[in-house]
Amino acid sequence: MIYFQLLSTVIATISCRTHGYRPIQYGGAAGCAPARNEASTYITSMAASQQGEPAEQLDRRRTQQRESYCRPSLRGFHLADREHLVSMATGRLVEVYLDLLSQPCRAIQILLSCTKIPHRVHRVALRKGEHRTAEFSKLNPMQKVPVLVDGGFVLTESDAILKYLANKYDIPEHWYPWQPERRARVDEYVAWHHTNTRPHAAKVFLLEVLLPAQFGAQVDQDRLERALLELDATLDKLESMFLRRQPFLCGDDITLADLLAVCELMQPLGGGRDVLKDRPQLQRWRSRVQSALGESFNEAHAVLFAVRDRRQAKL
Amino acid sequence: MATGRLVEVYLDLLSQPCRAIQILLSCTKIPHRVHRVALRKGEHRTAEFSKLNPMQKVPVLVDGGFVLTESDAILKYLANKYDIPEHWYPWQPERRARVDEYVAWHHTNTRPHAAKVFLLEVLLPAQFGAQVDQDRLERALLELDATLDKLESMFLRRQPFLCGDDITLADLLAVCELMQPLGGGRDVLKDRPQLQRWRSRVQSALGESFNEAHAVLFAVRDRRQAKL
Repeated sequence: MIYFQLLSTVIATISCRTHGYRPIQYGGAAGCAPARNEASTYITSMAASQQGEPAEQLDRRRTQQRESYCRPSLRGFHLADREHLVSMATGRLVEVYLDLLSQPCRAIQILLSCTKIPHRVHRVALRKGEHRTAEFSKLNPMQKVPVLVDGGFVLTESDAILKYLANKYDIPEHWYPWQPERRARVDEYVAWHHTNTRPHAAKVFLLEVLLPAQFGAQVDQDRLERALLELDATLDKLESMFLRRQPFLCGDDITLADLLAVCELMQPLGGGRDVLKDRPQLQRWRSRVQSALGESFNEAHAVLFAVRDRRQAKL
Repeated sequence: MATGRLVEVYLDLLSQPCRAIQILLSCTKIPHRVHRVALRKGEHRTAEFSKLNPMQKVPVLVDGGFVLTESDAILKYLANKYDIPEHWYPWQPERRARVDEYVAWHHTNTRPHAAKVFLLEVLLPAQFGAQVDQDRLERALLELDATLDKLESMFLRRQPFLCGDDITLADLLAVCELMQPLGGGRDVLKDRPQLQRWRSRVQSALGESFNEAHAVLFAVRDRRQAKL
């Protein structure tokens, strides 16, 4: 039994490095479409083992295969993971380019701090146009933050960056669970976030703080009213369809979903507006999230609080 | 599979993300059953459907009691859970991140800009019997044009597919979105040979499932052309 596990791990690890790696089947039992015509020892052994492999063993094998891609745990030793052990020893840092006035940037900053992934933050001040310099454009032609650079691998889009960190590094599983149904819940919120929470909350901040600051004009009250109504409808759905009676948006534990959502809903505070003011259920959620995140939450939001305080000083 | 359980999906094939799911299920032969929900008939607003999905949207997946919305999440769930070819959503973190990167960008770029063209040219006139608003259409086409520039120069570049050498969920979502304006007889890739070649590669990779999924859209186009 042990020999089989060892053998399958070795085979799996070797096969993982080649192009034709087949994914692990999570659903248990005889499952789905049998592996197709790829001549690989791994496939044969996997297909063979699918017939009546005990669930525990299947689970252990999946975990080993998955972990062969992750940075090695400091707690354990992973067979044939020397490549990762060496790079960890070289002390390579994940480089991120962030503006902490940007909601998705804060989410990334907080995750890196909480999980203690070794990293270096390069500050890019959007309000000074630092995202439009020739140098930054070479890094990211889209001229946006956040950007991640991990040993030559350049990645944009905060969703992708957060999920990459969760997949690659050995961080607590609750952030982005591996089990397909639990992972899907996080993917579901994150997708919805893009076209609901994010645009609607960001618009309030844009209308109340950014546009007036940039153009020295008064706040457009009509547009602001409409934006607040849209945000209100979004918050209704956030409460009734995602949070419901759960402690966090996707279940009992904090996930990437809560991180993205809380950073977005903090943003209007920069203009002195608490959008959760009349929503006790969401306020309690926010408190739970703040507790779970600890100091990293306040540190990341320091810039936003400074904006709020400066505005209040002027009034 | 031993229990013969089918994945249940609720789809309207006139909807771009629904087609992507239909195609993935067909290509990978995951046993499934499609429940058709006709948005134009308001079938997403029935009491029965609202019980399933209070957001009253398609697509919805139901897998043995597990109910899931959002096409991104559904496609990724199918890739994570079922034994399908790895190229769709690779496990290696860097390759997976490329797919996540495009899919995130898709939401706020390809999808809204391509969908708007179809909305202005086909849906709104059909629904309200009005003429096409040419000014808005012009602006929408310009925005789509800028998006296609970025699609070519930042994602496709010199690769065969959007995220590398193999087709992924990213190509599936993008192609279904970029097919939509064809329902109004408009080929948005008409002057873009590089993206046309990409589309051909995707169609080849998807085979019959591509044409089957797009049959409804083609029927809409043909009916409109018959009227003219």
